[in-house]
Amino acid sequence: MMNLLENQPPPQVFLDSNLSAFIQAAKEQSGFALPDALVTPRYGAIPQRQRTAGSYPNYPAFQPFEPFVEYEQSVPRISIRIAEAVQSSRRILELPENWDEEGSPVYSYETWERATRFVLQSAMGQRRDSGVWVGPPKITPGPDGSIDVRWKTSTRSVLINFPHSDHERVQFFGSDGDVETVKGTLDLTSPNQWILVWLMR
Amino acid sequence: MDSSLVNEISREWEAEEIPDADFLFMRVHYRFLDTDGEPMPGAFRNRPDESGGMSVDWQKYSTPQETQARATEPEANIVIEFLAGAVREIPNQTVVHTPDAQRNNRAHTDIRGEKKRPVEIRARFMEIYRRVVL
Repeated sequence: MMNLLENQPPPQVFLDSNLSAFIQAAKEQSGFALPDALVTPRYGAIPQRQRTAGSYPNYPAFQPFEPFVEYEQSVPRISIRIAEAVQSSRRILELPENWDEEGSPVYSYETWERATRFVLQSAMGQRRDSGVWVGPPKITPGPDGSIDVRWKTSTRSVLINFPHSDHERVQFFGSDGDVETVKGTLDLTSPNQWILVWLMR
Repeated sequence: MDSSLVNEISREWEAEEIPDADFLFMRVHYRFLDTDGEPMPGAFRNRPDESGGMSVDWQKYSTPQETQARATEPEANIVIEFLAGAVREIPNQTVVHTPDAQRNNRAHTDIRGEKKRPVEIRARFMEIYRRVVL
């Protein structure tokens, strides 16, 4: 099984404006401010030093500083492997009704977005706090129009199910395959980064 | 006695108790495989019929190759296996030998129990399966 833990900085991808959902998801991550556009000018000014009247009116040090313009670092970066996993999971939306020949409904964009937003937010948060990217999860069609997200390392795995209806709770189950398990439901309005912290322990 | 009559009588197989240490073989159609060719959690599901079980074959009366060959499109399926005892440790799952005389499958077995929720059920199946190389 692929080792999803990355100790080296992975190749990173600059996202284009078509993947606005990624940017929006990242912006929603608390403390992870991102520019709105690919390149955003930032205006600032060095605070003006206190003038002293008198002897040296033309000394440059006492001149008011000009406002400056600098450009922030460009687009938000995300692990290319995670970006690819999310992008390729879009194929779930193309599955027709009864694709499984057992009456499965089609999968909605909203369900997919809920699941992939969680993936991105969690992964970016983990990267920010630990400096390490988690490996890409497997995002697959689940029962009754739900979407499964499964992360696996060499020692642990966690499966998270995003129901078709956003009124239903998001369930998760994690295990080390031996004695330690975590399970319950997630509140998507709260940070749930602890799941990846647990996974990567 | 005519051999065909003997065969007809013998197809009424009795259900037997499956030991924990025995393997169960399960076909997984390619539509339930992920991009790495491995089963996805959604592959572990019950049939939509009344009995509502997940069909597998007991190793006592089947080989993995025979399990694959019973499919409508054998080449469109992989075969995985898990221990009966490991299945019984998954919450609310029972292993019941249900030989199918109509389809001439004495190995047929049902794994009964709800599998959609909680998500723990499918997660545990993902932990215990092993892919069979055919």
